[in-house]
Amino acid sequence: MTKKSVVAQTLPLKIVGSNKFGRYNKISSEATFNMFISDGWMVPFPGHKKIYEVIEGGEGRGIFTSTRLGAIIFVIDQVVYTMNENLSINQLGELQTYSGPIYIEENNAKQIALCDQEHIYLYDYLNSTFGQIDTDFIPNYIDFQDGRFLAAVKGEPLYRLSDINDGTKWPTDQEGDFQTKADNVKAVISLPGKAGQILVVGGIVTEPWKDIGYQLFPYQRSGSYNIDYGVANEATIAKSDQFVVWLGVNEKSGLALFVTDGGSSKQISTDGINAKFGQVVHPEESYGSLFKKDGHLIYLLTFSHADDNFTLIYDFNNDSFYYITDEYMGHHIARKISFFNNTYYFISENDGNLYELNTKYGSFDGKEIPRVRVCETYRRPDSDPFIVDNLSFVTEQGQFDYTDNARIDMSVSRDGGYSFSNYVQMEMKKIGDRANMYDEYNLGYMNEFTPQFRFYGKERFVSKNGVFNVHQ
Amino acid sequence: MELINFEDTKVIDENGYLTPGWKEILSQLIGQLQKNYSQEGLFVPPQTDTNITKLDNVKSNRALIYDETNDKLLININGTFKEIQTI
Repeated sequence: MTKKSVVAQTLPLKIVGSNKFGRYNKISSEATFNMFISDGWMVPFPGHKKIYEVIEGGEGRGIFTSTRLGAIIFVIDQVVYTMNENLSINQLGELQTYSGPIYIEENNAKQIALCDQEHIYLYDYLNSTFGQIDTDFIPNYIDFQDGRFLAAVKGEPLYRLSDINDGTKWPTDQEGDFQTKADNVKAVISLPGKAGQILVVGGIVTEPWKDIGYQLFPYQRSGSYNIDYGVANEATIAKSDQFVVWLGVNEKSGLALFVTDGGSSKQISTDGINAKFGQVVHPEESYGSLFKKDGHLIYLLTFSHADDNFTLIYDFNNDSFYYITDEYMGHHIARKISFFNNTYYFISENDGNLYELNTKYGSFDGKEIPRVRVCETYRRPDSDPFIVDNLSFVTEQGQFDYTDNARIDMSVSRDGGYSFSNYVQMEMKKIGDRANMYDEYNLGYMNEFTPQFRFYGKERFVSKNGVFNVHQ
Repeated sequence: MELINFEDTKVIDENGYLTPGWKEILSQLIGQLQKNYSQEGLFVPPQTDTNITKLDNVKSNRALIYDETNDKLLININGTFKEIQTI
């Protein structure tokens, strides 16, 4: 028997990190809740505040910023509202439906079209009219490009174009159809940052088309490639910068997250994320939104059914996933986010309120944001046990006059992230006391070490990677 | 004749060969050109008379087209399609 010598090591403590969890906790339980990485530090995901209670107990269905109108259009239940720069809210009109997503787009003729997957409604703010448009098809989705509205035809392999600058007319000969697979068109998306390109998205395939400018029908399908995935739920489609993101699926493959810039597509979800998607029971109750916060392009994807009940965000800047939640660790309440008045507004499926999302808010409308970091598990290559002497990392303190028992709680898992110990607490230093160190000693004897930190408080937490010391 | 769309994708792979996407683009482009511009003749694009009626405007000025419904060769002069008479 070989006698082992005492070896002391200082190892990195990855406070700064994203969701790197694997299919099972034993592979990795690393996860981050309500925080994200900025310049190599862990910073809070923005909180939000209720700006306007429109309808108590209602459902926020869609939101859209019109820079030409100088207002946002949003829909709560069946009612369409506008809010101008003075935060003055007006009722525009009513839809025929009371729930479900609303897709909103605008053309150059001061017409804003709303699609509730049953009808198209048009708000003409030049003539101050709002009403339902008679169409000879049932629209499933609406978008805009090159002067025309584009609509997916519900339950058909077809999409339709409106007349140029006239959303009231949808000529019967302005119709495109799927050509690569037998599928129904679920959405038509104009590609951001690519002139004249659209994606015709079905349930199992996506076809890129381009506006060639032909008179008979302006679009021509890409003859060289298509994307062999459709969308599980068109409400998960979001676009910004040069990207379109969607929750993809096809006849041979389960849910995965895809992104395209029009030239190629790639799967961005990891093994662990895909395994999480594999457990989703109700993909039909999901939605996505893209927004750029402080330079970070973020895609937010929510599975809102009680059986699923989680929200992931993907940060394009860091190629990283994180969880964001509500105050009860369920799914985040934002359904669609829109930038207006130099801030972000969102509506929620959970209620009839209009919210502002901003870094200046450290809480969820006064309720504490659960911010959690589960670090990666440390194991020795030979699985030999070790003793963790201490750990430490830098965290901002003394910056606020904490009045809410702000603290960092730490617990440790010794079984690879399946169960955690009781918490040890460190209260945040009061204002002016800027000692910036978090440290704990004598963490025990184990052969798997997974620390978990919970950041309690309604002010910000800013933390950097640290170290831990072990010996055998 | 339908010329393939330009695609803003990677043209050459790591080994210096065309990527599959650009192989397809060039293959289809060359195929269409060979089919319509060959030693066996220049083929005038065909359309039905219904579509020709839709195209009968100034945007089609100088367009040469074959009316496949009525078997006529047409040219658009100042926004109107006129038949090219043969002897």
